Amino acid sequence: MDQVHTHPPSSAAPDAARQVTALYQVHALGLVRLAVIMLGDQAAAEDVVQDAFLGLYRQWGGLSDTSHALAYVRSSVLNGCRTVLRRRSRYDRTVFAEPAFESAEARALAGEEHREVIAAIRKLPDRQREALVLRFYLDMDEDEVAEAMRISRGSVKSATSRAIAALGRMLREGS
Amino acid sequence: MTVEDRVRSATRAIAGAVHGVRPLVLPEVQPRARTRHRWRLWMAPVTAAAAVIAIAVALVIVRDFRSGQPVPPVNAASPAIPAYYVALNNALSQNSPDQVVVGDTFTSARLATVSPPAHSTFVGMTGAADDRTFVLGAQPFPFSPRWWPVEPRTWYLLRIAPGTDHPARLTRLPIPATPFGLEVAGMALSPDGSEFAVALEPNTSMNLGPELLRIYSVATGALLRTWTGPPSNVGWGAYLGRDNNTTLSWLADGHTLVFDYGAGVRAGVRMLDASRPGHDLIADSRPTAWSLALDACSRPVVTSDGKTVVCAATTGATGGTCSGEFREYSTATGKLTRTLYRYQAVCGTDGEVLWVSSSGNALIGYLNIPGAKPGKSSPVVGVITQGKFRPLSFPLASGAPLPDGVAW
Repeated sequence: MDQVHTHPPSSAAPDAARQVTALYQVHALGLVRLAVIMLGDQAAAEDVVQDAFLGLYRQWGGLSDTSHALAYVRSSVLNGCRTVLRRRSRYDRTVFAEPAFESAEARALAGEEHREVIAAIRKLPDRQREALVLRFYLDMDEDEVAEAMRISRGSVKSATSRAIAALGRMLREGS
Repeated sequence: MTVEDRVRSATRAIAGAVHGVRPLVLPEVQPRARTRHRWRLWMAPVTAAAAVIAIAVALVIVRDFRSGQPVPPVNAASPAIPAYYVALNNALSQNSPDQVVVGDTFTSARLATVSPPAHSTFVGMTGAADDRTFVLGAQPFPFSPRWWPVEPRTWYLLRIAPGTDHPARLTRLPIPATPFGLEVAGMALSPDGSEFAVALEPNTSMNLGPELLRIYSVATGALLRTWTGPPSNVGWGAYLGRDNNTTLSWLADGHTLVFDYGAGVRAGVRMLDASRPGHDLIADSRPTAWSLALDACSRPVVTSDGKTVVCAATTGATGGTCSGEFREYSTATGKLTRTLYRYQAVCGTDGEVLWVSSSGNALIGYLNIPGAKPGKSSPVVGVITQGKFRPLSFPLASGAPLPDGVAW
């Protein structure tokens, strides 16, 4: 039997849930990838991103400019990753755990060289790690990194430069 | 290799191993009320005036639709862009089931809104070559976020008749629901709308068995053919609440299926003659020369003449923006034959081919372009032809349709 469910067009404006969900659909994968780089654990990364969007949803009415929503979520994701890493560092010392890959194939694709670099990145202090990843993974310029991390451009510059120097040392020592 | 290059390479490799995320779960609470600003007070009448103008324009368009006989379908052999599409109205959330909108590609008019049957939500769609016949996939609603991708899909036929009093008619198809535990990795309706192909992939965490490719009769729901192969795991695309509807497709000959297979040494685009006997997805299909390993291109779409692969890629970063490209490759040689369109893209966000003409001369693409301010992005969908991009507008709650959330 036919089931016809047609409605006339509606001009109702999208509500907060729709807008936040639409934003999630477009940006969640990229933000989870960013969080996985920071945390090495997809489940934890997804939790952080979910929490960030939940926070956005709760704050939606208070945002003066919703075009800043992505920047808000990105900052929340960075903060969330920082919290997870600190909690791990304090309680179970798994900060430097191997990244959790989806499959053995993915693990093989990542390669030993990449795992070594990622392990070194995770040993960096919070600010240096975030600046480095935003700068070279997301290819943000210094102003954009400064906005995402809510620090000055000069601080981004010094954090990035220290991170590169520290990483260079760690990779040389490891090889 | 510099330290910076090693960081780029390693972080992208790690990020590339993430293929899907679970759906967003929002609580049943209202967000805080927005503070009213003075400038918004005079925005209200301006918005109302704009709405009146929009309604007037829409009425003219609707009058054109209603004035005569049903609009004839686009010739399936023509490279012209299909006149009508079906799209998910909104991004799927736990708060409400997703409807689909039947729309006019060029006027942005909405012909109909189709609600899913009770206790279900739409999650996928694919169209025949006549731009009037679609198969829609639905899953139970409310759904469990944990089991969301692997919930059974039931199938519906949507026939649209623009210009009539019943522009959309939804019918439950007799095709059996997909088994719990299998994800829909691809679906495609044959050009004449008589056969429905669906690729099913075991959920990686459940490890239930092989990859399946099945063909059903749309008229009777009978299972016509089944092929099996090792699980693909990658290459079918990320699951974001919309079932993949581009990487499995039929060629215009009506019997060749093309699919993107992601696993191991067999990774790449393969062609399968569905009219010949067989059951082994890999042994019975032949690889094209195009492989994901050749290029960092997103999900490939094969033109219905079988000669080219069209896909999108993002390269070279400068100051937070990258160069986005829609490219065309030969299936015979695997080589780049032309760049269809170049644009300034947001790094880390590939474009997507949503539809392509039989020869590749025209396509509908999804692009993530930089927004008005640094670090902001804006998804747009439009027609790409002769190196030019013409944006389309859609009467959807989500604005632009999302990849896999629209079918032409």
